[in-house]
Amino acid sequence: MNNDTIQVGSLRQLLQAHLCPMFPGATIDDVAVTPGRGDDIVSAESSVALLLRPAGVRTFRCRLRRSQPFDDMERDVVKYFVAALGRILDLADRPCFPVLLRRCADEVVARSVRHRGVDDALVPTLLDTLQEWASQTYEGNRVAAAIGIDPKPSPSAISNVHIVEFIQADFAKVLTNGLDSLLVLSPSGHVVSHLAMESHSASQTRRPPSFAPLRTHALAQWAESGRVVLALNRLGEILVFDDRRLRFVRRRGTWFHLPHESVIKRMGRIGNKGLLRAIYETCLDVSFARHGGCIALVKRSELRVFEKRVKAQDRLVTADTVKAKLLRHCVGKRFNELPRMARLAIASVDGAVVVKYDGTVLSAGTIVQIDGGSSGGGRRAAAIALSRAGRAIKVSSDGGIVCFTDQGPKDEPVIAFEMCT
Amino acid sequence: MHQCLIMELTQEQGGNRQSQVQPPLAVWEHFFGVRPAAGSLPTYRLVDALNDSDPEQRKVVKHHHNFTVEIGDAGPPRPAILRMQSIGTNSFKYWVLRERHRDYRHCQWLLRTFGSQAVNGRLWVIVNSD
Repeated sequence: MNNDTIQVGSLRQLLQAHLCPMFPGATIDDVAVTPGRGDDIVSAESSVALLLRPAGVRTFRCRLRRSQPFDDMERDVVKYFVAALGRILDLADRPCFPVLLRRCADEVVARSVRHRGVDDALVPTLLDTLQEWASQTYEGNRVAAAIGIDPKPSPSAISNVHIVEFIQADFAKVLTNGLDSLLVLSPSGHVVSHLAMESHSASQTRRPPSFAPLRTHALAQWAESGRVVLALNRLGEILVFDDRRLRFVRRRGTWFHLPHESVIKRMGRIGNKGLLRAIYETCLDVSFARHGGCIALVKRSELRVFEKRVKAQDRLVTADTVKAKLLRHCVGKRFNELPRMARLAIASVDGAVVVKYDGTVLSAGTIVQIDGGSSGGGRRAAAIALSRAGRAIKVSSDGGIVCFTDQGPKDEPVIAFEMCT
Repeated sequence: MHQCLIMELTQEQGGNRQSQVQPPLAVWEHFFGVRPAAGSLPTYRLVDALNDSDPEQRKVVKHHHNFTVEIGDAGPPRPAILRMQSIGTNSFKYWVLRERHRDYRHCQWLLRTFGSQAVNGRLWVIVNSD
């Protein structure tokens, strides 16, 4: 007799809709797996497949699979999600279930970044507050803020002022600006200090973190050695940093997990690692700057695709337009050798950036020649057209990132990854 | 108004873990506000008032069917009495009183006169103070 709280099809749908978006390229297998011995809610079948069995499910397991191995951190994220889901599955047929499901993601984020010495309620309280502030204003302006938790603050610096004593006050919304000022709390939630990041010595001397948007470098750099930063930007997005990287972002009401290394691997083997990383960094920067953009990477064997899609006058080597001449003068180096700010600037110019496998910038701000009858917007059509040359990444002006490959049908190429879409 | 806890310190977790204090569940609930079924455990700011030390950061830890919290000065010797006062949200000042301290006898009298007794014989009392 099946005493499971939920049927396999329904569970599969829930996991596909709420867990898979956190891991680009991951899917839940159609066919369920028989239950194994032991009570593990998540077990590793292989490095690329995890078996999931939330509490209340006894007769089957679902398989989460993707082409890249799951690392320890990602397995923990999956475990927290499955644990949170298991606690609410017996309410699956109640009207409140969708609300509880959304809270699962909040819980996953909080547990994933919480240092073991930190008050269990602190991160959830801060996330709830930032979510409230995301829909509020202060003197007519959207609220931006950043709060950090230091697991090992200097004891003499820990005040007796607890965050909950003032967080509901209006003035709390303007204590920090969400970019380079930070309110630091102790593990118990007491105020330690207010930091101005541009005067913080570490932010000036170290190489900027790769896996964080350019504008948030100061916050990401501070988030090391167990420190966590929760930030709200003026677009209403909540960014969560730890280990010097952006780990989670809440955009348009949905949490996204950012598995940076895994995404870079899915970009394929065109060019060297440095080039792929540089392209990824720039896509992150464009996404969070909300400029929109398109970056294509051309294989050695597919230069003819580039030549078909980009007019000679727009190519940097044969530049004939003012824009192309200016960009040729300003670029002058391989894409991955350019300063990150310069890469963001050229990627933000309306049109595509096309980069050769060796890092040479072939064109920038290019209007791509696309075939008639293309579906989707112009940027998407341009990315799909350029993807035939290798890889083409479209960044929407609302921040979503999609990487098209040269595999699959011409008008519906295989997608290597999607992030924050 | 602040609450003040006065509680005997026992051998606690024994060995060299005597500073890992395990108050009775009733103390957790009525003084600390931590219920037995709590899924979320706090971290406290503790100040050793006797030694005027900088604040400690101590996470409450689940231990079998109870909870423990590390209190820096609560190691040996025994006998000792813990006096703890709430001074803010998740913030406490404490004194570990030993027999030679001038307040020890008074606290001992309070415990023997008004104290509740835990299953293991430990005496404790919660006092409201201004």
